[in-house]
Amino acid sequence: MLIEHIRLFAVAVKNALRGPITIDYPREARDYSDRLRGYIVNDKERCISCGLCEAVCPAKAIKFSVGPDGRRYPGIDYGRCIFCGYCVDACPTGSLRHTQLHEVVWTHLNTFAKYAEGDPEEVDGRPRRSLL
Amino acid sequence: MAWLIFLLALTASLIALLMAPRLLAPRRLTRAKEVRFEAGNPPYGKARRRMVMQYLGYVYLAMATESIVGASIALYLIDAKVLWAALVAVAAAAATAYVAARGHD
Amino acid sequence: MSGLAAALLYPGITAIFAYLLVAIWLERKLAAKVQWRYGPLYVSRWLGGLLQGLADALKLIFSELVVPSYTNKALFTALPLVVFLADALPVMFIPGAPDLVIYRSHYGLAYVLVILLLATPAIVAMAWVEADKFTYIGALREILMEAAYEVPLALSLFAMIILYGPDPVQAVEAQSIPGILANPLAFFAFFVSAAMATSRFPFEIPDADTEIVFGPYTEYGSTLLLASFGANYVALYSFSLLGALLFLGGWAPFGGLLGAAVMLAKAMLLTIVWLILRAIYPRLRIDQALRLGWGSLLAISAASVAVSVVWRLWLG
Repeated sequence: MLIEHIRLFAVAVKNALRGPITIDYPREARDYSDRLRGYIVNDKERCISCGLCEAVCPAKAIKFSVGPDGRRYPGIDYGRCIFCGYCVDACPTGSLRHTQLHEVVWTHLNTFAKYAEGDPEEVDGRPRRSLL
Repeated sequence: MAWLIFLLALTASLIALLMAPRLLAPRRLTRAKEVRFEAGNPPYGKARRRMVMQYLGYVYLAMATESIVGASIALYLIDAKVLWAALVAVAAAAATAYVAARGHD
Repeated sequence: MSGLAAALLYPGITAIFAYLLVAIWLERKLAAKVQWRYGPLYVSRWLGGLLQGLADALKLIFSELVVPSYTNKALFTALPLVVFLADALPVMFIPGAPDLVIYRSHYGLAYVLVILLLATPAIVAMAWVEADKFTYIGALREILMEAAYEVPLALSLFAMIILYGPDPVQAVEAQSIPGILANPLAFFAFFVSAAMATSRFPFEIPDADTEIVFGPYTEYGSTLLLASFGANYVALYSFSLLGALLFLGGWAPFGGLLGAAVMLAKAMLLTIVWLILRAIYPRLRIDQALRLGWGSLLAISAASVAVSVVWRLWLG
Protein backbone atom coordinates (compact mmCIF):
# COMPACT_ATOMS: atom_id res chain seq x y z
CA MET A 1 0.00 0.00 0.00
CA LEU A 2 2.65 2.50 1.05
CA ILE A 3 5.06 1.05 -1.50
CA GLU A 4 2.56 1.89 -4.23
CA HIS A 5 2.52 5.54 -3.22
CA ILE A 6 6.31 5.69 -3.06
CA ARG A 7 6.42 4.21 -6.55
CA LEU A 8 4.01 6.89 -7.76
CA PHE A 9 6.37 9.57 -6.44
CA ALA A 10 9.38 7.80 -7.95
CA VAL A 11 7.72 7.72 -11.37
CA ALA A 12 6.91 11.42 -11.09
CA VAL A 13 10.48 12.32 -10.22
CA LYS A 14 11.82 10.11 -12.99
CA ASN A 15 9.53 11.78 -15.50
CA ALA A 16 10.41 15.23 -14.25
CA LEU A 17 14.09 14.54 -14.83
CA ARG A 18 13.55 13.20 -18.32
CA GLY A 19 13.02 16.57 -19.94
CA PRO A 20 10.22 17.68 -22.24
CA ILE A 21 9.18 15.93 -25.43
CA THR A 22 7.11 18.89 -26.57
CA ILE A 23 8.76 21.64 -28.58
CA ASP A 24 9.53 25.14 -27.38
CA TYR A 25 6.77 26.26 -29.69
CA PRO A 26 7.18 29.68 -31.16
CA ARG A 27 10.93 29.26 -31.35
CA GLU A 28 11.11 25.64 -32.48
CA ALA A 29 9.08 23.67 -34.96
CA ARG A 30 8.12 20.05 -34.88
CA ASP A 31 9.88 18.10 -37.62
CA TYR A 32 7.32 15.93 -39.33
CA SER A 33 8.57 13.85 -42.24
CA ASP A 34 8.54 15.22 -45.81
CA ARG A 35 5.39 13.22 -46.36
CA LEU A 36 3.38 15.59 -44.20
CA ARG A 37 0.19 16.62 -45.93
CA GLY A 38 0.57 20.28 -45.22
CA TYR A 39 -0.56 23.45 -46.90
CA ILE A 40 -1.07 22.90 -50.65
CA VAL A 41 0.56 25.17 -53.25
CA ASN A 42 -0.04 25.30 -56.96
CA ASP A 43 2.68 25.88 -59.52
CA LYS A 44 0.96 28.13 -62.04
CA GLU A 45 3.50 27.35 -64.76
CA ARG A 46 2.59 23.68 -64.77
CA CYS A 47 -1.15 23.94 -64.08
CA ILE A 48 -3.22 23.01 -67.13
CA SER A 49 -6.58 24.01 -65.56
CA CYS A 50 -7.97 20.50 -66.14
CA GLY A 51 -10.30 20.61 -63.11
CA LEU A 52 -9.49 17.10 -61.89
CA CYS A 53 -8.64 18.41 -58.44
CA GLU A 54 -12.01 20.12 -58.17
CA ALA A 55 -13.76 16.94 -59.32
CA VAL A 56 -11.95 14.67 -56.86
CA CYS A 57 -12.14 16.89 -53.80
CA PRO A 58 -14.38 15.10 -51.25
CA ALA A 59 -14.90 18.23 -49.18
CA LYS A 60 -15.75 20.43 -52.17
CA ALA A 61 -13.09 22.80 -50.99
CA ILE A 62 -11.56 23.53 -54.39
CA LYS A 63 -13.12 26.16 -56.64
CA PHE A 64 -11.63 27.46 -59.85
CA SER A 65 -11.39 31.15 -60.52
CA VAL A 66 -9.87 33.28 -63.22
CA GLY A 67 -6.38 34.51 -62.61
CA PRO A 68 -4.73 37.72 -63.83
CA ASP A 69 -3.52 36.03 -67.01
CA GLY A 70 -7.02 34.92 -68.02
CA ARG A 71 -6.52 31.25 -67.20
CA ARG A 72 -8.38 29.43 -64.48
CA TYR A 73 -6.60 28.26 -61.38
CA PRO A 74 -7.77 26.18 -58.42
CA GLY A 75 -8.15 27.88 -55.05
CA ILE A 76 -8.63 25.98 -51.83
CA ASP A 77 -11.04 27.06 -49.14
CA TYR A 78 -9.19 26.03 -46.01
CA GLY A 79 -12.36 26.31 -44.02
CA ARG A 80 -13.45 23.14 -45.82
CA CYS A 81 -10.20 21.40 -46.75
CA ILE A 82 -9.56 18.17 -44.88
CA PHE A 83 -5.98 17.77 -46.13
CA CYS A 84 -6.70 14.34 -47.62
CA GLY A 85 -4.30 14.91 -50.49
CA TYR A 86 -6.62 13.55 -53.22
CA CYS A 87 -6.14 16.67 -55.35
CA VAL A 88 -2.37 16.28 -55.19
CA ASP A 89 -2.68 12.63 -56.21
CA ALA A 90 -5.11 13.47 -59.00
CA CYS A 91 -3.07 16.30 -60.49
CA PRO A 92 -1.82 14.99 -63.86
CA THR A 93 1.11 17.42 -64.19
CA GLY A 94 2.17 17.47 -60.58
CA SER A 95 1.58 21.18 -60.27
CA LEU A 96 -0.28 20.84 -56.96
CA ARG A 97 1.92 19.69 -54.13
CA HIS A 98 1.96 19.56 -50.34
CA THR A 99 4.39 21.66 -48.38
CA GLN A 100 5.72 21.21 -44.86
CA LEU A 101 3.66 24.14 -43.63
CA HIS A 102 0.85 23.41 -41.27
CA GLU A 103 0.46 26.66 -39.37
CA VAL A 104 -0.49 29.27 -41.94
CA VAL A 105 -2.13 32.49 -40.87
CA TRP A 106 -3.83 34.90 -43.19
CA THR A 107 -5.75 38.03 -42.52
CA HIS A 108 -8.43 37.83 -45.13
CA LEU A 109 -10.71 34.96 -46.08
CA ASN A 110 -10.29 35.46 -49.82
CA THR A 111 -6.51 35.44 -49.83
CA PHE A 112 -6.31 31.73 -50.39
CA ALA A 113 -9.89 30.76 -51.09
CA LYS A 114 -9.43 32.02 -54.61
CA TYR A 115 -6.47 30.85 -56.67
CA ALA A 116 -3.34 31.23 -54.64
CA GLU A 117 -2.60 34.90 -54.71
CA GLY A 118 0.37 34.65 -52.48
CA ASP A 119 2.00 31.49 -51.30
CA PRO A 120 3.50 31.75 -47.83
CA GLU A 121 7.21 31.39 -47.29
CA GLU A 122 8.06 27.73 -47.20
CA VAL A 123 11.13 27.89 -45.05
CA ASP A 124 11.41 29.52 -41.70
CA GLY A 125 14.64 29.70 -39.78
CA ARG A 126 13.35 27.78 -36.78
CA PRO A 127 15.18 24.69 -35.60
CA ARG A 128 13.18 21.53 -36.16
CA ARG A 129 12.89 18.73 -33.67
CA SER A 130 11.34 15.35 -34.35
CA LEU A 131 9.13 13.56 -31.88
CA LEU A 132 11.28 10.47 -31.54
CA MET B 1 1.51 47.03 17.07
CA ALA B 2 2.95 44.97 14.23
CA TRP B 3 -0.24 42.96 13.94
CA LEU B 4 -2.25 46.12 13.34
CA ILE B 5 0.18 47.20 10.62
CA PHE B 6 -0.04 43.72 9.10
CA LEU B 7 -3.83 43.73 9.05
CA LEU B 8 -4.05 47.29 7.73
CA ALA B 9 -1.49 46.68 5.00
CA LEU B 10 -3.17 43.44 3.98
CA THR B 11 -6.60 45.06 3.88
CA ALA B 12 -5.23 48.05 2.01
CA SER B 13 -3.57 45.91 -0.61
CA LEU B 14 -6.73 43.84 -1.04
CA ILE B 15 -8.88 46.95 -1.41
CA ALA B 16 -6.37 48.36 -3.90
CA LEU B 17 -6.70 45.09 -5.78
CA LEU B 18 -10.47 45.52 -5.77
CA MET B 19 -10.38 49.16 -6.87
CA ALA B 20 -7.82 48.68 -9.64
CA PRO B 21 -10.22 47.18 -12.23
CA ARG B 22 -12.82 49.85 -11.42
CA LEU B 23 -10.31 52.48 -12.48
CA LEU B 24 -8.51 50.65 -15.25
CA ALA B 25 -10.87 48.11 -16.75
CA PRO B 26 -13.62 48.86 -19.25
CA ARG B 27 -17.19 48.67 -18.00
CA ARG B 28 -19.68 47.49 -20.54
CA LEU B 29 -22.39 45.55 -18.80
CA THR B 30 -24.55 43.43 -21.03
CA ARG B 31 -27.43 41.17 -20.16
CA ALA B 32 -25.34 38.08 -20.80
CA LYS B 33 -22.74 39.14 -18.26
CA GLU B 34 -25.33 39.88 -15.62
CA VAL B 35 -27.10 36.54 -15.54
CA ARG B 36 -26.08 33.49 -13.61
CA PHE B 37 -23.38 31.35 -15.18
CA GLU B 38 -24.73 28.05 -16.41
CA ALA B 39 -22.02 26.91 -18.79
CA GLY B 40 -23.34 29.08 -21.61
CA ASN B 41 -27.00 28.10 -21.32
CA PRO B 42 -29.71 30.53 -20.28
CA PRO B 43 -30.24 29.97 -16.56
CA TYR B 44 -33.24 27.92 -15.57
CA GLY B 45 -34.68 26.73 -12.30
CA LYS B 46 -33.32 27.38 -8.86
CA ALA B 47 -29.61 27.54 -8.16
CA ARG B 48 -30.00 25.87 -4.79
CA ARG B 49 -31.74 22.65 -5.53
CA ARG B 50 -32.35 19.68 -3.31
CA MET B 51 -29.22 17.75 -2.59
CA VAL B 52 -28.79 14.20 -1.38
CA MET B 53 -28.20 13.95 2.33
CA GLN B 54 -26.18 10.77 1.96
CA TYR B 55 -23.05 12.27 3.54
CA LEU B 56 -24.74 14.48 6.09
CA GLY B 57 -23.82 11.92 8.75
CA TYR B 58 -20.18 12.79 8.34
CA VAL B 59 -20.87 16.49 8.88
CA TYR B 60 -22.82 15.68 12.01
CA LEU B 61 -20.05 13.37 13.17
CA ALA B 62 -17.48 16.10 12.55
CA MET B 63 -19.54 18.57 14.54
CA ALA B 64 -19.82 16.24 17.51
CA THR B 65 -16.22 14.99 17.47
CA GLU B 66 -14.74 18.39 16.79
CA SER B 67 -16.43 19.92 19.80
CA ILE B 68 -14.96 17.24 22.08
CA VAL B 69 -11.50 17.49 20.55
CA GLY B 70 -11.58 21.28 20.62
CA ALA B 71 -12.74 21.36 24.21
CA SER B 72 -9.99 18.90 25.18
CA ILE B 73 -7.31 21.04 23.54
CA ALA B 74 -8.69 24.17 25.17
CA LEU B 75 -8.79 22.48 28.59
CA TYR B 76 -5.24 21.23 28.15
CA LEU B 77 -4.08 24.72 27.22
CA ILE B 78 -5.77 26.22 30.30
CA ASP B 79 -4.40 23.64 32.69
CA ALA B 80 -1.77 21.12 31.64
CA LYS B 81 -2.69 18.86 34.56
CA VAL B 82 -5.87 17.69 32.86
CA LEU B 83 -3.85 16.02 30.09
CA TRP B 84 -5.08 12.56 31.03
CA ALA B 85 -8.73 13.54 31.11
CA ALA B 86 -8.28 15.30 27.78
CA LEU B 87 -6.61 12.21 26.33
CA VAL B 88 -9.39 9.94 27.49
CA ALA B 89 -12.00 12.28 26.00
CA VAL B 90 -10.14 12.49 22.69
CA ALA B 91 -9.59 8.74 22.54
CA ALA B 92 -13.23 8.02 23.33
CA ALA B 93 -14.44 10.54 20.75
CA ALA B 94 -12.06 9.25 18.06
CA ALA B 95 -12.96 5.62 18.72
CA THR B 96 -16.70 6.37 18.65
CA ALA B 97 -16.32 8.39 15.45
CA TYR B 98 -14.23 5.65 13.84
CA VAL B 99 -16.81 2.99 14.65
CA ALA B 100 -19.71 5.23 13.64
CA ALA B 101 -18.07 6.08 10.34
CA ARG B 102 -17.56 2.36 9.61
CA GLY B 103 -21.30 1.83 9.81
CA HIS B 104 -21.88 4.67 7.36
CA ASP B 105 -21.88 4.11 3.65
CA MET C 1 11.52 47.27 14.27
CA SER C 2 11.66 43.51 13.81
CA GLY C 3 7.89 43.50 14.25
CA LEU C 4 7.56 45.95 11.38
CA ALA C 5 9.85 43.84 9.22
CA ALA C 6 7.80 40.77 10.09
CA ALA C 7 4.54 42.50 9.19
CA LEU C 8 5.65 44.04 5.93
CA LEU C 9 8.36 41.71 4.63
CA TYR C 10 8.63 38.18 5.94
CA PRO C 11 6.49 36.33 6.97
CA GLY C 12 4.10 39.21 6.25
CA ILE C 13 2.68 40.91 3.18
CA THR C 14 5.61 40.86 0.77
CA ALA C 15 6.32 37.19 1.41
CA ILE C 16 2.64 36.33 0.99
CA PHE C 17 2.37 37.94 -2.42
CA ALA C 18 5.78 36.66 -3.52
CA TYR C 19 4.73 33.18 -2.42
CA LEU C 20 1.54 33.48 -4.46
CA LEU C 21 3.58 34.23 -7.55
CA VAL C 22 6.16 31.52 -6.95
CA ALA C 23 3.71 28.82 -5.84
CA ILE C 24 1.43 29.19 -8.85
CA TRP C 25 4.44 29.17 -11.18
CA LEU C 26 5.94 26.21 -9.36
CA GLU C 27 2.71 24.25 -9.54
CA ARG C 28 2.42 24.77 -13.28
CA LYS C 29 6.10 24.11 -13.85
CA LEU C 30 6.24 20.94 -11.75
CA ALA C 31 3.14 19.48 -13.35
CA ALA C 32 4.61 20.35 -16.76
CA LYS C 33 7.95 18.71 -15.99
CA VAL C 34 6.31 15.51 -14.83
CA GLN C 35 4.13 15.48 -17.94
CA TRP C 36 7.15 16.03 -20.25
CA ARG C 37 6.17 19.58 -21.15
CA TYR C 38 7.93 22.93 -20.82
CA GLY C 39 5.33 24.73 -18.73
CA PRO C 40 5.16 28.52 -18.60
CA LEU C 41 8.14 29.97 -20.42
CA TYR C 42 7.01 32.80 -22.64
CA VAL C 43 7.00 35.66 -20.13
CA SER C 44 10.46 36.28 -18.66
CA ARG C 45 12.33 33.47 -20.34
CA TRP C 46 15.48 34.17 -18.37
CA LEU C 47 13.61 33.32 -15.16
CA GLY C 48 12.02 30.21 -16.63
CA GLY C 49 8.65 31.92 -16.98
CA LEU C 50 8.38 32.94 -13.35
CA LEU C 51 6.70 36.23 -14.14
CA GLN C 52 3.84 34.52 -16.00
CA GLY C 53 1.77 34.84 -12.82
CA LEU C 54 2.43 38.57 -12.76
CA ALA C 55 1.35 38.83 -16.38
CA ASP C 56 -1.83 36.92 -15.57
CA ALA C 57 -2.49 39.22 -12.62
CA LEU C 58 -2.03 42.28 -14.83
CA LYS C 59 -4.41 40.81 -17.37
CA LEU C 60 -6.97 40.21 -14.61
CA ILE C 61 -6.59 43.76 -13.30
CA PHE C 62 -7.43 45.12 -16.73
CA SER C 63 -10.46 42.88 -17.20
CA GLU C 64 -13.95 43.99 -16.34
CA LEU C 65 -15.22 43.42 -12.83
CA VAL C 66 -18.67 41.96 -13.35
CA VAL C 67 -20.96 41.93 -10.34
CA PRO C 68 -24.12 40.04 -11.29
CA SER C 69 -27.34 41.84 -10.50
CA TYR C 70 -29.07 38.91 -8.81
CA THR C 71 -26.54 38.65 -5.97
CA ASN C 72 -25.99 40.72 -2.88
CA LYS C 73 -23.41 43.03 -4.43
CA ALA C 74 -21.66 44.12 -1.24
CA LEU C 75 -21.22 40.56 -0.01
CA PHE C 76 -20.26 39.37 -3.47
CA THR C 77 -17.32 41.77 -3.60
CA ALA C 78 -16.40 41.59 0.08
CA LEU C 79 -16.32 37.83 0.66
CA PRO C 80 -13.34 36.97 -1.57
CA LEU C 81 -11.35 39.50 0.41
CA VAL C 82 -12.58 37.93 3.65
CA VAL C 83 -11.48 34.52 2.41
CA PHE C 84 -8.06 35.91 1.52
CA LEU C 85 -7.76 37.59 4.92
CA ALA C 86 -8.85 34.48 6.78
CA ASP C 87 -6.26 32.41 4.96
CA ALA C 88 -3.54 34.99 5.61
CA LEU C 89 -4.31 35.47 9.31
CA PRO C 90 -2.46 32.37 10.62
CA VAL C 91 0.74 33.96 9.35
CA MET C 92 0.32 36.51 12.15
CA PHE C 93 1.10 33.92 14.79
CA ILE C 94 3.78 31.93 13.00
CA PRO C 95 7.32 33.22 13.48
CA GLY C 96 9.56 33.34 10.44
CA ALA C 97 12.70 33.55 12.53
CA PRO C 98 13.37 33.81 16.30
CA ASP C 99 12.28 37.45 16.48
CA LEU C 100 10.35 37.81 13.25
CA VAL C 101 6.87 37.28 14.57
CA ILE C 102 3.96 39.59 13.89
CA TYR C 103 1.94 38.80 17.00
CA ARG C 104 3.72 36.96 19.76
CA SER C 105 1.23 34.89 21.68
CA HIS C 106 1.69 32.06 24.12
CA TYR C 107 -1.27 30.25 22.55
CA GLY C 108 -0.19 30.87 18.96
CA LEU C 109 -0.67 27.31 17.71
CA ALA C 110 -4.21 27.15 19.06
CA TYR C 111 -5.09 30.41 17.30
CA VAL C 112 -3.55 29.12 14.07
CA LEU C 113 -5.60 25.94 14.26
CA VAL C 114 -8.84 27.83 14.86
CA ILE C 115 -8.22 30.32 12.06
CA LEU C 116 -7.25 27.58 9.62
CA LEU C 117 -10.51 25.77 10.36
CA LEU C 118 -12.51 29.01 10.03
CA ALA C 119 -11.33 29.69 6.49
CA THR C 120 -13.74 27.08 5.11
CA PRO C 121 -16.89 28.79 6.41
CA ALA C 122 -15.72 31.92 4.62
CA ILE C 123 -15.38 30.00 1.36
CA VAL C 124 -18.80 28.41 1.88
CA ALA C 125 -20.33 31.84 2.52
CA MET C 126 -18.69 33.12 -0.64
CA ALA C 127 -20.04 30.24 -2.69
CA TRP C 128 -23.48 30.70 -1.15
CA VAL C 129 -23.61 34.39 -2.04
CA GLU C 130 -22.58 33.66 -5.62
CA ALA C 131 -25.79 31.58 -5.92
CA ASP C 132 -24.96 29.51 -8.93
CA LYS C 133 -25.46 25.79 -9.46
CA PHE C 134 -21.75 25.09 -9.63
CA THR C 135 -20.84 27.18 -6.62
CA TYR C 136 -23.64 25.51 -4.70
CA ILE C 137 -22.21 22.06 -5.39
CA GLY C 138 -18.74 23.45 -4.64
CA ALA C 139 -19.95 24.80 -1.30
CA LEU C 140 -21.43 21.44 -0.35
CA ARG C 141 -18.20 19.69 -1.27
CA GLU C 142 -16.23 22.25 0.70
CA ILE C 143 -18.38 21.53 3.76
CA LEU C 144 -17.90 17.78 3.35
CA MET C 145 -14.14 18.19 2.88
CA GLU C 146 -13.91 20.18 6.06
CA ALA C 147 -15.86 17.43 7.81
CA ALA C 148 -13.23 14.99 6.52
CA TYR C 149 -10.08 16.84 7.56
CA GLU C 150 -10.83 18.98 10.58
CA VAL C 151 -10.61 16.31 13.28
CA PRO C 152 -7.33 14.76 11.98
CA LEU C 153 -5.83 18.24 11.60
CA ALA C 154 -6.84 19.21 15.12
CA LEU C 155 -5.53 15.93 16.53
CA SER C 156 -2.19 16.14 14.73
CA LEU C 157 -1.68 19.70 15.99
CA PHE C 158 -2.78 18.58 19.46
CA ALA C 159 -0.05 15.94 19.33
CA MET C 160 2.53 18.61 18.53
CA ILE C 161 1.15 20.90 21.24
CA ILE C 162 1.59 18.08 23.76
CA LEU C 163 5.17 17.63 22.57
CA TYR C 164 6.30 21.25 22.25
CA GLY C 165 3.70 23.40 23.97
CA PRO C 166 1.35 25.90 22.36
CA ASP C 167 3.91 28.67 21.84
CA PRO C 168 5.17 28.59 18.22
CA VAL C 169 8.41 30.40 19.09
CA GLN C 170 9.28 27.94 21.83
CA ALA C 171 8.27 25.02 19.62
CA VAL C 172 11.51 25.37 17.69
CA GLU C 173 13.67 25.53 20.78
CA ALA C 174 11.87 22.48 22.16
CA GLN C 175 12.76 20.40 19.09
CA SER C 176 15.94 18.52 19.90
CA ILE C 177 15.13 16.25 16.97
CA PRO C 178 12.84 17.50 14.18
CA GLY C 179 9.17 16.85 14.74
CA ILE C 180 8.93 14.73 11.62
CA LEU C 181 11.24 12.17 13.24
CA ALA C 182 9.79 12.52 16.73
CA ASN C 183 6.24 12.02 15.54
CA PRO C 184 6.02 10.90 11.90
CA LEU C 185 2.37 9.92 12.31
CA ALA C 186 1.44 13.49 13.24
CA PHE C 187 3.35 14.75 10.23
CA PHE C 188 1.53 12.36 7.95
CA ALA C 189 -1.88 13.33 9.33
CA PHE C 190 -0.94 17.02 9.11
CA PHE C 191 0.33 16.63 5.56
CA VAL C 192 -2.78 14.87 4.27
CA SER C 193 -5.26 17.09 6.08
CA ALA C 194 -3.44 20.20 4.86
CA ALA C 195 -3.70 18.83 1.34
CA MET C 196 -7.43 18.42 1.95
CA ALA C 197 -7.76 21.91 3.43
CA THR C 198 -6.03 23.67 0.55
CA SER C 199 -7.58 21.32 -2.05
CA ARG C 200 -4.30 19.91 -3.30
CA PHE C 201 -4.68 17.23 -5.81
CA PRO C 202 -6.06 13.94 -4.65
CA PHE C 203 -8.57 16.08 -2.74
CA GLU C 204 -9.11 18.82 -5.29
CA ILE C 205 -12.79 18.07 -4.93
CA PRO C 206 -14.43 21.44 -4.16
CA ASP C 207 -13.01 23.24 -7.20
CA ALA C 208 -12.81 20.27 -9.54
CA ASP C 209 -12.56 22.16 -12.80
CA THR C 210 -13.40 19.18 -14.96
CA GLU C 211 -16.65 18.56 -13.13
CA ILE C 212 -18.11 21.75 -11.71
CA VAL C 213 -16.35 24.51 -13.69
CA PHE C 214 -14.48 26.11 -10.80
CA GLY C 215 -16.51 25.18 -7.75
CA PRO C 216 -16.84 28.04 -5.26
CA TYR C 217 -14.93 30.45 -7.51
CA THR C 218 -17.09 30.03 -10.60
CA GLU C 219 -18.77 33.44 -10.74
CA TYR C 220 -15.65 35.49 -10.11
CA GLY C 221 -13.56 37.27 -12.67
CA SER C 222 -11.02 40.03 -12.66
CA THR C 223 -9.23 40.71 -9.37
CA LEU C 224 -11.96 39.00 -7.36
CA LEU C 225 -10.82 35.76 -8.95
CA LEU C 226 -7.28 36.67 -7.97
CA ALA C 227 -8.34 37.21 -4.35
CA SER C 228 -10.62 34.20 -4.03
CA PHE C 229 -8.50 31.67 -5.89
CA GLY C 230 -5.22 33.11 -4.61
CA ALA C 231 -6.54 32.54 -1.09
CA ASN C 232 -5.97 28.82 -1.63
CA TYR C 233 -2.28 29.41 -2.11
CA VAL C 234 -2.14 31.78 0.85
CA ALA C 235 -3.61 28.97 2.94
CA LEU C 236 -0.89 26.73 1.52
CA TYR C 237 1.65 29.34 2.63
CA SER C 238 0.27 29.26 6.16
CA PHE C 239 0.30 25.48 6.19
CA SER C 240 3.82 25.21 4.81
CA LEU C 241 5.18 27.70 7.36
CA LEU C 242 3.37 25.82 10.11
CA GLY C 243 4.70 22.49 8.85
CA ALA C 244 8.24 23.84 8.59
CA LEU C 245 7.96 25.21 12.10
CA LEU C 246 6.52 22.15 13.79
CA PHE C 247 7.93 19.25 11.83
CA LEU C 248 11.10 20.34 10.04
CA GLY C 249 12.71 22.22 12.90
CA GLY C 250 11.87 25.78 11.86
CA TRP C 251 14.92 28.03 11.61
CA ALA C 252 17.16 25.58 13.48
CA PRO C 253 20.14 25.28 13.46
CA PHE C 254 20.59 28.96 12.66
CA GLY C 255 19.17 32.22 13.92
CA GLY C 256 18.63 35.70 12.59
CA LEU C 257 18.50 36.30 8.85
CA LEU C 258 20.07 32.98 7.94
CA GLY C 259 17.47 31.29 10.13
CA ALA C 260 14.68 33.07 8.24
CA ALA C 261 16.14 31.87 4.95
CA VAL C 262 16.42 28.31 6.27
CA MET C 263 12.83 28.34 7.48
CA LEU C 264 11.64 29.68 4.13
CA ALA C 265 13.62 26.98 2.33
CA LYS C 266 12.03 24.30 4.49
CA ALA C 267 8.58 25.77 3.84
CA MET C 268 9.28 25.76 0.10
CA LEU C 269 10.39 22.14 0.30
CA LEU C 270 7.07 21.21 1.88
CA THR C 271 5.26 23.33 -0.71
CA ILE C 272 6.97 21.50 -3.55
CA VAL C 273 5.78 18.16 -2.21
CA TRP C 274 2.23 19.49 -1.89
CA LEU C 275 2.30 20.97 -5.36
CA ILE C 276 3.76 17.95 -7.13
CA LEU C 277 0.79 15.92 -5.87
CA ARG C 278 -1.12 17.52 -8.76
CA ALA C 279 0.95 15.58 -11.23
CA ILE C 280 0.84 12.31 -9.32
CA TYR C 281 -2.64 11.55 -8.08
CA PRO C 282 -6.04 11.38 -9.72
CA ARG C 283 -8.93 13.13 -8.01
CA LEU C 284 -10.76 11.12 -5.39
CA ARG C 285 -14.51 10.97 -5.13
CA ILE C 286 -16.02 12.84 -2.21
CA ASP C 287 -17.06 9.62 -0.45
CA GLN C 288 -13.55 8.19 -0.84
CA ALA C 289 -12.09 11.33 0.73
CA LEU C 290 -14.61 11.18 3.57
CA ARG C 291 -13.91 7.51 4.18
CA LEU C 292 -10.18 8.25 4.20
CA GLY C 293 -10.63 11.14 6.62
CA TRP C 294 -12.81 9.19 9.03
CA GLY C 295 -10.92 5.92 8.63
CA SER C 296 -7.18 5.62 8.41
CA LEU C 297 -6.45 9.34 8.78
CA LEU C 298 -8.46 9.57 12.01
CA ALA C 299 -6.76 6.43 13.32
CA ILE C 300 -3.31 7.75 12.40
CA SER C 301 -3.91 11.13 13.98
CA ALA C 302 -5.27 9.52 17.17
CA ALA C 303 -2.19 7.29 17.24
CA SER C 304 0.01 10.38 16.81
CA VAL C 305 -1.45 11.82 20.02
CA ALA C 306 -0.54 8.55 21.74
CA VAL C 307 3.02 8.76 20.33
CA SER C 308 3.36 12.27 21.75
CA VAL C 309 2.16 11.11 25.15
CA VAL C 310 4.69 8.28 25.10
CA TRP C 311 7.45 10.81 24.31
CA ARG C 312 6.26 13.01 27.16
CA LEU C 313 6.28 10.09 29.60
CA TRP C 314 9.70 8.97 28.43
CA LEU C 315 11.24 12.42 28.60
CA GLY C 316 9.39 13.22 31.80
